[in-house]
Amino acid sequence: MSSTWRIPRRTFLRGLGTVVALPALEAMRPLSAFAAAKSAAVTAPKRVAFLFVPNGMNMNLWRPEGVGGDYQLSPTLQPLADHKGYFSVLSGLTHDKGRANGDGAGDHARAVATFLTGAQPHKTDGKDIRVGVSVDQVAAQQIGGQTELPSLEIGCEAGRLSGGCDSGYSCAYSSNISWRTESSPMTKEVDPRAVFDRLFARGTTADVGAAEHRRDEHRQSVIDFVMEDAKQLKKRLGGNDRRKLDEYLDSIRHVERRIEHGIDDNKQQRPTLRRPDGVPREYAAHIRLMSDLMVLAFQTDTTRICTYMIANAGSNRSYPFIDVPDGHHYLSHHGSNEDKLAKIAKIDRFQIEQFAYLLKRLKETPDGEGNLLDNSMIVYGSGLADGNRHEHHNLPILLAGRGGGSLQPGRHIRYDDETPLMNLYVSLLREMGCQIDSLGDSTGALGQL
Amino acid sequence: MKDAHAQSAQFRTCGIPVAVWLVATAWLMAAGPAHGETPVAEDGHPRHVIPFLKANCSECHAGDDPDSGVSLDALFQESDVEQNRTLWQDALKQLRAGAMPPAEAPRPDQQQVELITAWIDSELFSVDCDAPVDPGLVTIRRLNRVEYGNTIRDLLGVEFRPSGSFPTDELGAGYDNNGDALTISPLLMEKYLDAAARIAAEAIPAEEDAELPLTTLAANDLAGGGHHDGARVLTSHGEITATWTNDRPGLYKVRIEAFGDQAGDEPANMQVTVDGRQVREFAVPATRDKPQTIVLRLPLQEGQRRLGLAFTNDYYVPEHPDPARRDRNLWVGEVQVIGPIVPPNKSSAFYRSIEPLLPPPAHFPLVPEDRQAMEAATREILASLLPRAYRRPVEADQIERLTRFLVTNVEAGDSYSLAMQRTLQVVLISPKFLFRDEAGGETQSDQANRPIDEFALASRLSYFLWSSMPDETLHRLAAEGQLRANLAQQVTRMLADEKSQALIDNFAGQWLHTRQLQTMTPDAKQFDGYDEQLAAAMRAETLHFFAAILREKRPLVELLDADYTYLNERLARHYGIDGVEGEQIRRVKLSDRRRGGVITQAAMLTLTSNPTRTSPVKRGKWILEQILGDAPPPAPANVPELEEAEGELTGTLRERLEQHRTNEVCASCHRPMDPLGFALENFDAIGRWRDTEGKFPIDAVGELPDGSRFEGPVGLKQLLVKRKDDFRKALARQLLTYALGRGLEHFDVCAVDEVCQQTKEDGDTLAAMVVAIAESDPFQFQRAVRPEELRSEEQGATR
Repeated sequence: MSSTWRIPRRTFLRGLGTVVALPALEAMRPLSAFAAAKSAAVTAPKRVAFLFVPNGMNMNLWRPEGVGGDYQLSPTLQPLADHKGYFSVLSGLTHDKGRANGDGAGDHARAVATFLTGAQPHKTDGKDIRVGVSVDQVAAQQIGGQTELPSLEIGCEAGRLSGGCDSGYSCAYSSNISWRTESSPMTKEVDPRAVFDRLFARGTTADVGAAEHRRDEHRQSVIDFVMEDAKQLKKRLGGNDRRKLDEYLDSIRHVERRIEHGIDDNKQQRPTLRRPDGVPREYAAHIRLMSDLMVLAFQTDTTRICTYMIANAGSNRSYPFIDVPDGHHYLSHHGSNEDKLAKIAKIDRFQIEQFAYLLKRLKETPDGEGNLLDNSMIVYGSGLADGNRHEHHNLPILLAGRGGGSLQPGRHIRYDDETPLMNLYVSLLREMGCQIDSLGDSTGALGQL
Repeated sequence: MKDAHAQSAQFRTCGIPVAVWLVATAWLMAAGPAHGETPVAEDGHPRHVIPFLKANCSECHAGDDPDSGVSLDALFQESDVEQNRTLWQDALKQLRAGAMPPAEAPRPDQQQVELITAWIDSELFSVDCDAPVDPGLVTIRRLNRVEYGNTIRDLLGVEFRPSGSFPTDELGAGYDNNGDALTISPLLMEKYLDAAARIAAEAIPAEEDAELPLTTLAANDLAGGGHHDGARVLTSHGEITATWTNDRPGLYKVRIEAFGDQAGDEPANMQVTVDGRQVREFAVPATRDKPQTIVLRLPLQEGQRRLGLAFTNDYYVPEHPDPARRDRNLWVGEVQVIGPIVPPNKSSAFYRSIEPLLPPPAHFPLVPEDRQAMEAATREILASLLPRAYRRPVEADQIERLTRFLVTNVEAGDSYSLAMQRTLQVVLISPKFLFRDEAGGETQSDQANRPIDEFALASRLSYFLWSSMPDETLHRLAAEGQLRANLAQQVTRMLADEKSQALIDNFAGQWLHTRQLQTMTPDAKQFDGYDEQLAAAMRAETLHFFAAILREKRPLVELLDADYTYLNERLARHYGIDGVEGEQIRRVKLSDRRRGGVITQAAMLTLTSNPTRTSPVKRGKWILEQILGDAPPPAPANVPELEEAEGELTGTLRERLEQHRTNEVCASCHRPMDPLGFALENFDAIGRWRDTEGKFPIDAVGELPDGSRFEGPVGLKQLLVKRKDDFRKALARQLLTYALGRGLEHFDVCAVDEVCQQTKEDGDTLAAMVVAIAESDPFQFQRAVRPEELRSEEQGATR
């Protein structure tokens, strides 16, 4: 039987001493027929994604009329009309840790730092950056091992290149929503081409044979070597320096794990997307291309967990293409000025249009018995409600997808005031199969979903 | 919907009951010292400060739901000021600015306020600069994107620009070289591995690579023996053959997967022939669960070739006591033929430097003489590479480990070049390369402060001035222990080197924020003249200007005002200056002093504007922070920044802002800030001159709280030049922050004062300031790691 030659890659490497760079063995690659049979037998996995938009919303035009299943879509949410049965509007949820709580100004930084962590960020411009582990990383740490990449972090705006971000909070808070430890953000990728390469480049090179395998084996040997270096170095260092070496070691282990996971020849579809040329000049095209990549990552089961920052906290980007030449953050402090409020609503709606595109793409993509949206749980929202007052309560939050049958979307659900947003995440984590009692300032799981 | 919380009034006046206040004040007056003395008792205890704060602040800033989220409860406890440094600092700022208590509340006696603030100030900030001063602790810094690219260039002679692929480096204290803020994420680690592979391949031309033609002969493509389990087996003496056709003659690599059913007292033996001619013989000790791969490098002719794999030591003893040792067979899985291998003709500076050292082409498998030659060559190459890559001497065992790594790769079938490529990859992702290890062997010390060793000093200097690794001269001086003794001379040499452009791009680009210019999006309708070319010219003006002041050793006050600037035709037209033609940026003499100096350069004026209009507040804040080093306290929580809170107000932007400043809370911070920006109102949001804003004429008069008045950019610049000492200090703080890669702490005030003093004495130039910083204690020393700190974390280290 051919199984004689089916050797666990890792065993093989160990057997020959980890510093040996090995040539490829065809035997280590599962037969595609075998892989296809295997994957068909498995029920479709659940996917989870978190999309962040900055600066809050024009809440008057966001909040829908009525509650329950026959609520009326608000003007801002109109672009989602085709998907009304596929998402719910969640009102009343709060991020108390986004409030000052003694820390003074910096609501934008706090709103984003706390968005997926539910933790109060430590106010600092660099020293002792600390917030909390984010919901996606809890999932990545518990169930991310099932896929080649535990999680994917993407966005459309790179971090600032000079100056400060918000009132004494480090820019690390403003440009990341995903935190793998309380002090280490998961850097996001903003170039669609780079995301594509990270996900698929090895699957598209002409020589699918030896080259890919060898690359990984070389990497493995290199990794084993430098782990030793890092451990030696770490012994001599104190305090903060050690934490930095820990970040290094954790990141190296991540790469190692990805290699160990092996190359997914059973990625069911090769990418249907042409390799992007880079960052599109048009913002809408950029947002959509990143959405396409998220869909592809889910479709090919390269990962099941994704965070997506449409823009960074406090972004002052202008939207001239929808007739809003002003900066977004500047507008968000509208002081009840009608003109500014109208422009904010335009931005909100533009972003919802892009979200509608994502939902459409997920819906069009077959997955298991249904489509990808059936098997996904997609959170969309902002860490601020009204940007003018920096409100951290009654946040604008959407939850899309059926979560493999665990969610009943299509409603406007009004929760009690001050219900922690983190309760939603606790529920979603449990649906993903995570063991979790609490996260951030959660007080339990969220009902009625 | 809005609930009660949201309505918590932003400008609520929190009235302090008069009775309480009177009592408290009376107590303070009675118990407190006479006017002019410190209100603090001899024992240093804040006996009077706490009652003062309680009396004046606790009505609003205490308890469960304090105003603006600021609670002073922690300050009411008698504790070390150090524990609540930030809160004390905020309280100090508010008291000093007169912003708190708010105007609606009874005002405490101004003399009392002064006494109280003097005490807080002295507790917070007094440092005895004559006693040993803490030099601070710099968190280990990984190379940022710029430093990585430059270091690769200087180490290997390979051009690599990470800015296109590595994620943005997070900023700390305003700069992207801050040890605390620089992190390594899994994403970045993947990028490091990719980069290392690409750079190594560029640095060392290897004969083989993945793209070579490959012929794979699976078991059913082979002939001879039995065919089972996807492999071929020889159960008695015989031969398995592989036949294929080469298109071209050349050097080929042949890989054979094999294992044996082992029996008797020796492993299975395989004899390899090519076209009937024996080339080698191998023992095949591998077994079924762990097959081995044999790699041969063979010169082959074109046309059909035949590889023979013969089993030469059959063994069959059915009566052997161990049933597993009775029958020896040879198994062959797959054969791959790769080639022909064509040597690429590219070479890097690094390759040219090691070329004379390369060992002669080796036989395969290695014979002892080959191995010795290879090891000797490798040791020699690594002995020169590693100390440069790690920027300090390395121990012999590091060279040995890497040498073994390389040889093992050759044994596995790689050419020497490919194995060296891989070794270089290891070096490039080693933490010793990616991090700037300043500790060397020594981190502990009984002394509180320890001078960093000369290699660390060489690195600090070179990353400060060049954003790159030390060159040979620095490295040699450090090795001889002569760097400290020749510091000023080395700084001068380094500034003269063109690599010091890095200081201009990276320090000035961040201090003056010009890096951020690329993200600005002025409204195309109002500012149709704005495009990428113009933005590039704006950036170039500022950086050329800074460079001239640094390189020509001009007085640093010229940064504030000068009678020259750098323009090309495009930017000159933008400024309304005639006679500048072409794209080339060149120095232009200014007769009109409304321009000249960084404050009136288009880059700064654009950076501090909103897309649709100017922002006097942002401009004023920028000048306060970056030029005068006097950052206003952040606006209280839940209070929108002043200009952003505008409702239905009329008039020019200035008038609208002034209407807001009738609010005392806002006014305390904005009074010293906005007037600076008002003086620049003649410059629009992309830095063009204008006389009106819409239909309103511009009023560019500014008046500061101390009553000083100034008008327009000329008046503002005169005012700033008068505050030259503040500017020098602000610049010193910025430059020191950049040089150290850490945020400054209160004790750094000693170093900053010293740097300013020395700069002034040495001609008051930027170059003098760079030398003074290089000689300063925080640059030369590091706070020692306490031995117990290392021990206490020992458990945490074993993972």
